[in-house]
Amino acid sequence: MTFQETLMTLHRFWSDRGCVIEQPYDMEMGAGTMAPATFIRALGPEPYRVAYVQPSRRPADARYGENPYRLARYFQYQVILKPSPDDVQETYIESLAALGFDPLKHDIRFVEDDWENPSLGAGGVGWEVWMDGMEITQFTYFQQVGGIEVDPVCAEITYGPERLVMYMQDVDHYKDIRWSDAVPYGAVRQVEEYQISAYGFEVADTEMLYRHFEDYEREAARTLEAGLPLAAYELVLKCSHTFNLLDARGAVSVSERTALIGRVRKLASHVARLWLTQREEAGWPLLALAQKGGEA
Amino acid sequence: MATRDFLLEIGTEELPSRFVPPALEQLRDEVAAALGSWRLEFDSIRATGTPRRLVLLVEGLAEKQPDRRVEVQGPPKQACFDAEGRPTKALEGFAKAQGVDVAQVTFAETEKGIRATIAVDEPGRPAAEVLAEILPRVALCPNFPKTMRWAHRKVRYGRPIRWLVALLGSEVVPFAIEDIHSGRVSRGHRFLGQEAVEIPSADAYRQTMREQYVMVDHEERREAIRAQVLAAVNQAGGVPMHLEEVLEENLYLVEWPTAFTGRFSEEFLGLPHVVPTTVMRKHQKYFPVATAEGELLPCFVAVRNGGVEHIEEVIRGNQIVVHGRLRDAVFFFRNDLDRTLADRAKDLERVVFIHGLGSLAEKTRRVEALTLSVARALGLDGADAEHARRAAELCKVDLTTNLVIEFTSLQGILGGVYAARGGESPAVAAAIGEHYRPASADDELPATAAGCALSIADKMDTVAGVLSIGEAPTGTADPHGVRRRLQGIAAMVLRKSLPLDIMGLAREALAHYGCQDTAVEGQLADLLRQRAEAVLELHGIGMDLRDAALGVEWGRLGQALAVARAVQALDTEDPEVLTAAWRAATRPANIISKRESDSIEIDASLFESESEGALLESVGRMETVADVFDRRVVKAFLEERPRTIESQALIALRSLALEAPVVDGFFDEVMVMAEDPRLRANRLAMLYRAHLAVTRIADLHALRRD
Repeated sequence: MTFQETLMTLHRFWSDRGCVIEQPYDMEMGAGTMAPATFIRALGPEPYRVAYVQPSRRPADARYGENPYRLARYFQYQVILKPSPDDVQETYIESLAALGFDPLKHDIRFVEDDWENPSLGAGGVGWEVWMDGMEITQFTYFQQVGGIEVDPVCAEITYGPERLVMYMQDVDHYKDIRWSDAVPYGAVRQVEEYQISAYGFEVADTEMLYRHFEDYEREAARTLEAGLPLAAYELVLKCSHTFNLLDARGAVSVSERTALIGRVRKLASHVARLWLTQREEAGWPLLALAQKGGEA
Repeated sequence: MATRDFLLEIGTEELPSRFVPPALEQLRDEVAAALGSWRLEFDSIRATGTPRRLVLLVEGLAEKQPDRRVEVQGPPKQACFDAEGRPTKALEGFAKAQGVDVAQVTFAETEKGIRATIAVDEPGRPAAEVLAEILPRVALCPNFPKTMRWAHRKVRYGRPIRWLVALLGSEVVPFAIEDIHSGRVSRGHRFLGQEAVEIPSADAYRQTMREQYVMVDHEERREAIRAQVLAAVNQAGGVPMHLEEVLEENLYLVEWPTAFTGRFSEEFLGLPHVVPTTVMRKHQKYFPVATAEGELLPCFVAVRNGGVEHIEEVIRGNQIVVHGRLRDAVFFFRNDLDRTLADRAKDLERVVFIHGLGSLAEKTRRVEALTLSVARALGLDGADAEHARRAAELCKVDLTTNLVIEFTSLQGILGGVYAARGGESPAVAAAIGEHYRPASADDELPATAAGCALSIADKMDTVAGVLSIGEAPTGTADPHGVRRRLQGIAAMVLRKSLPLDIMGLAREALAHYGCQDTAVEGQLADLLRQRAEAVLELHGIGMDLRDAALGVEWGRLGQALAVARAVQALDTEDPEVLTAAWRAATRPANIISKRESDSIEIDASLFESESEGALLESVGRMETVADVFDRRVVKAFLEERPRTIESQALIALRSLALEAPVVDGFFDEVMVMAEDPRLRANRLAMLYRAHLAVTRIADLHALRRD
């Protein structure tokens, strides 16, 4: 199975299980969790099921395209099921089978691994899923988002498609992954990896980045005051990514790090509270929709 | 009486392996206590489990409680009859409530006076009924280290509960946790077994599960894993490393264990061996394999949750993972070796130590100075002291290397490797390598004197810094590990009998932070004292004896464990000798608080009786005993024979016991608190000197004896 077939198979699989298939959010972010389809939708009582690919930016993991596993920009396949279904693990294993992994031929385990994102004030409990000793998925029951205890709890499934496909195709470098039948991953992305690595480590102007961080932070606060949590959240994402660039550049000391993360978290939790207030005022539209669906 | 077996199975999603053993213990204790309080007898009770199920099996459970006759108490006698002697409403109501005639009511003396009582036959309740009542609480009794919620449910548990089986014999005991109802349907192995498995009866459970590829009993699983791992390791031509530790890690990760052997390229043996062994045992939970001589072999044994079918594919995957991780490690290691630690030292300027406490470069300068102080106190000579100093200068540099950033738990150990590679002397490399020890109460201590000096200096610097910015531990919160570090210091000083003025060092460390606050110093002393007590407790020293051994000046902390052991030994061998020594110490100690000055001047011309002269001579002998003991303590340390201190303390205690008759004679004949202030002061000064001499060994009067 090629890389693109893998993503399409997951789309088909989760679409058949009632998920909205979202498109990648068009902004830089560190993980699929940060996309509004997760951060925002995990909040409040409204049910939601969504799956999407999210390009994920990790400037500190940049390796000029040389390292077999680490990339400055890679993909996460993200699924949110809210509330968490009782058979969520079984469904997840079915998705592996859909990708051609016969569970009887492998050793699949759920190994304790709780997850936390201090910038988003989010955390959950769960596992990393191992297949034959390899971590292929992060599986989390969210407990908190934006500093707010979530109820109901959703299940988050985050696949690492590059890892999965490398194993499936028996290649030991990401660049050798067959993206399509004709074109390898390296041909699609390696030059870009080199350039964004070089930019992040050598070129990025830290003074400008600091300035932008503060601009975005102020703008986010203003936007919140204007009562626009989703728009403000985009600026929070800007802050977060700008911070990641500064961090990768080695421009942030340990103490500053904590302080900057704290500033992003403050904005994120403000976004969360404002979003919940607005949805409540709107009568939790998706809850109403689901109830109507139930009656129909 | 008829009995049946009882089964409770709490089916969950995969529990973290560390959650399971304590949960099982709590489950067993809770059920045993509940059955006991409900007077339900049973033959045996056992809790066992896997990652997906907490299981409780009670064998030979009585089908019902024994019947019993109970006396039900009613109103007091005086409230039972009116003035005319007719039954009151109270009495009638009581009788009616119990369903008997007023005439059947008797009166009995109770704690609350004479009261109406009715003997009632209480039939025993059926076990099934009692179980249905207690199970909701029992199932939720485990106190997990971290709990979670799932879906809409309110209940918190270690991981989501997915099914409940409760069978008394072959009958379901109905109960529910929110909308999860008990039944007889369990689940087999996630992949090899069936999704729904009917358990016919409690006693058929284990066999039914075995057919479903679930080895429920953890003891059986442990032995199965051990046997398979040993066979695999043997076949690979080696012995397993960290067998018990990795075995426990795997025990609650699998329901149907199958061991297999994987290999990795020999080129990775060029890494410091602690890197591949950490990858294997910590990250991947594999058993590393070594030759009988301890040489690491390029293979590992791991345990799969499943059978032998398709094991080749499982081996392939696991080998890929190890290969990937070790290839990264080799890449980091080679890059790290481009520059020696000495070359990298200036990078520490950029690294923050603890927020508010400057950079690691500043920390390094403080630790260097403190290390020299400790080295001096320990009598390290020129070359040894220089090794300790050099080790201090380089000890934090490995924190800037990629391999330590990747494998944080190997800080220090890799520093030692890099120091040796960079041409530092073996003594310097060894000291760096062991300066984080002891990392916990059961960790080894640094083996070399330089390593020990550096370890103490490093820990004391952190403690002083953290306390100086007011971040002392509170309750269970100790984010900077102040208690752990102080316990490490106490363990080194006590177990190695170090002649070190530990509070002097603490003051020096605080001074480096510009802190001269006596409140902070007091806080540090209190914490240190608690940790020293904890160390003594770990060595089986009781509370009074801890107070006695630690009731010496801080500079004598190093002798405390040896002295405490000597006291214990004497108490076993010759308890009356210990009592005599205790008396010689305690009688002076009890009265010296009445002295008006700390004078130790004694004027023999003021003596009124021979027993005073005798006491003065005795005091002189006690001081000699203490002097000799002091000299032997230092000598024993320099010769690295801490056990000698114990035997020297024993000699000192026996010598002290010999003075008991003199002390007794003095107290019998002399009135210490004489009218004449000069006589009083003279006598108190003598007793004070006796006390000072004794408390150079131990504050014996903290012991309790008859």
